[in-house]
Amino acid sequence: MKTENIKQTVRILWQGLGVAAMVLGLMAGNASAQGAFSKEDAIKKVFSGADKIVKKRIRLTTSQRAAIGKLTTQTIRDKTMSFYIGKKGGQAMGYAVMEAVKNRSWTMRYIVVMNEDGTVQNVEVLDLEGPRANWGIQSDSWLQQFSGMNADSDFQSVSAVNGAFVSVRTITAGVRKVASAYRVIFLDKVK
Amino acid sequence: MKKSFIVAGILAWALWQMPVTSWAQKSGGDDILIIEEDGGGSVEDLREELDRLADEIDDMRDIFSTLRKNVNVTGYGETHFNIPTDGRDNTFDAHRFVIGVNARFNDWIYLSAEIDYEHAAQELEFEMGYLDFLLDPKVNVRAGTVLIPVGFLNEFHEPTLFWTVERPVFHNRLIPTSWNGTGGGFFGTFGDFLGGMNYRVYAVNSLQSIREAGFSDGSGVTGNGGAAGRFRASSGIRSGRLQANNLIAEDIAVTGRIEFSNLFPGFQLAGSFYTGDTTHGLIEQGGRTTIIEGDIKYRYKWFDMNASIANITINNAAELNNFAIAQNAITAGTHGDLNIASNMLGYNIQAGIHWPQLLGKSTSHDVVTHFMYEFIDTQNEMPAGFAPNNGSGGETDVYTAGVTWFPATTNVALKADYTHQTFNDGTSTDQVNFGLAYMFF
Repeated sequence: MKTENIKQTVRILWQGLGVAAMVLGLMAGNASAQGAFSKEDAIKKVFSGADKIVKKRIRLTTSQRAAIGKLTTQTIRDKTMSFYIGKKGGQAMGYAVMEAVKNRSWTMRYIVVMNEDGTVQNVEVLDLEGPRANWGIQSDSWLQQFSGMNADSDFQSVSAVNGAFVSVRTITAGVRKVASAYRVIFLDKVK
Repeated sequence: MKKSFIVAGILAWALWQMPVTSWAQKSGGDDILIIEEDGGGSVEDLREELDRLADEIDDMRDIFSTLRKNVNVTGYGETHFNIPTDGRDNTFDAHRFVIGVNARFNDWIYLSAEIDYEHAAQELEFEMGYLDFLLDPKVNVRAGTVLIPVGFLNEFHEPTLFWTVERPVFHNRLIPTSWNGTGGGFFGTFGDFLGGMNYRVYAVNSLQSIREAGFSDGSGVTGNGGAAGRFRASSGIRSGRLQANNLIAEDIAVTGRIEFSNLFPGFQLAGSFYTGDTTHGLIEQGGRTTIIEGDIKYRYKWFDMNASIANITINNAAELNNFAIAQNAITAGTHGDLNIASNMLGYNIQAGIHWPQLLGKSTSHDVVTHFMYEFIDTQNEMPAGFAPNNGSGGETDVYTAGVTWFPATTNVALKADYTHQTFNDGTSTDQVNFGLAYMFF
């Protein structure tokens, strides 16, 4: 292919990108990247099929904060944690905690669902603001690596995602905190 | 041709139909009553509860004032102490201090920008500055001065994200990190497709392989209306990068990257390309430069590794060299480091051990020992009539071993390493490096 033909191809591609951008721009009326939705909706979705959902707000004691901090190697500043317990036929479907954290510059909200035995049942990213290439951490195939982990698991082995280093660290720390809090509060019953 | 269009169309349609995790779309759910359950208690308990609530409201006020800002400052920096053991002088270098600004105009238009103060703020670079228009996770628009999506380091080059004190030679002499271009394109993700697929594709100003006599390389106002650049024997295409300072844009390049970020647990596979003419009308020939790159990353518990390979082909290399020789004849000595190759090749492989994990220690610290081998050949194939350069400008083997400590945060790294380079004329260099690196946001 001659140079002029290649140049022509690039020009056409460039113009095509412009046209496509305009078309996509017209679609932007619905272009809220990660639409906000209520906490209640998220909880109900997690416990789809539940007879009832009980919100249990735990006031963390100094001992509990210290115990969670030791398990997570984090400084725990939370004074309370709210666990949502989905119930069906009198049986607990799981214990869910929702958190909003600063992820690099923007907000990330996620929900961690624990099994009664202290293993992670499920993790979902609810909102992920910002434009960097960190959307990979929203995919089920990436998030499912948390399933089955507990407070003693090796969280450093969580897979990195290129361009989402901060997001990966943020959500990994969050899951570890919830798993450790569940262990301290419900299994070890630290007062 | 038609067949390939049909196949491409079917493929595009299939990808479009792939489910992308979008929680907002999945939300909804049954109409279940959420009951608040709390442990009753005495008046004293209630008073205590009120106190706790007051504390919590104060904390939340702090958190929300941080979260809801529409402008955020980020940045990173690194300072090096280089100690050559082959007779060269020791040096301190406040290599980089970068200030970034991220801004949100509404919930779908964002700005990402960085200003790079290099070598104790003696060099200034506009690292990037682009707008993102978030339309759909699968297709979004990016425009402005963007980081070229070639290799895993160029776009995400914060010094706490790699272990060595200096950036790997592969990401300097072959892929000219950090490398930006001005233009725009698309980016997005195809959710769970093959474990999660991300892509970027942009059209940007192309590299400049040759410049006329009387102009100097790099930034400044002496190029064709702005910055100028040219390819060299030792640094390959690196000096062909242009800052967006009225830069010449007679040639446009297309570049892109595709990443499979979780092909199987811990394993990431990615590929990048770049292609564009580079002579910007200074000679008849285009000097098309094409980069094909591939990289992997893998981590299994305490074992961590990455590897990259890249090949660069440069069309009309003989004409580019002849043009440079002619410019030297006009103004002698202005075009040193001649002999642009028609093909450049390089690869590297690095492995590291995370010691706290290996020893089963539960700690917020991380200590990584690492080893890397690199092969760089910016004179891999020469055009007829031109011989490859020897010495530090030619074929090079690089061995780097070191240790990096992340002291209770992954956003600070203290590094030490030793680098040995051997060149194809039998000469070599040795250097011990110490580095401080940090990233903030």
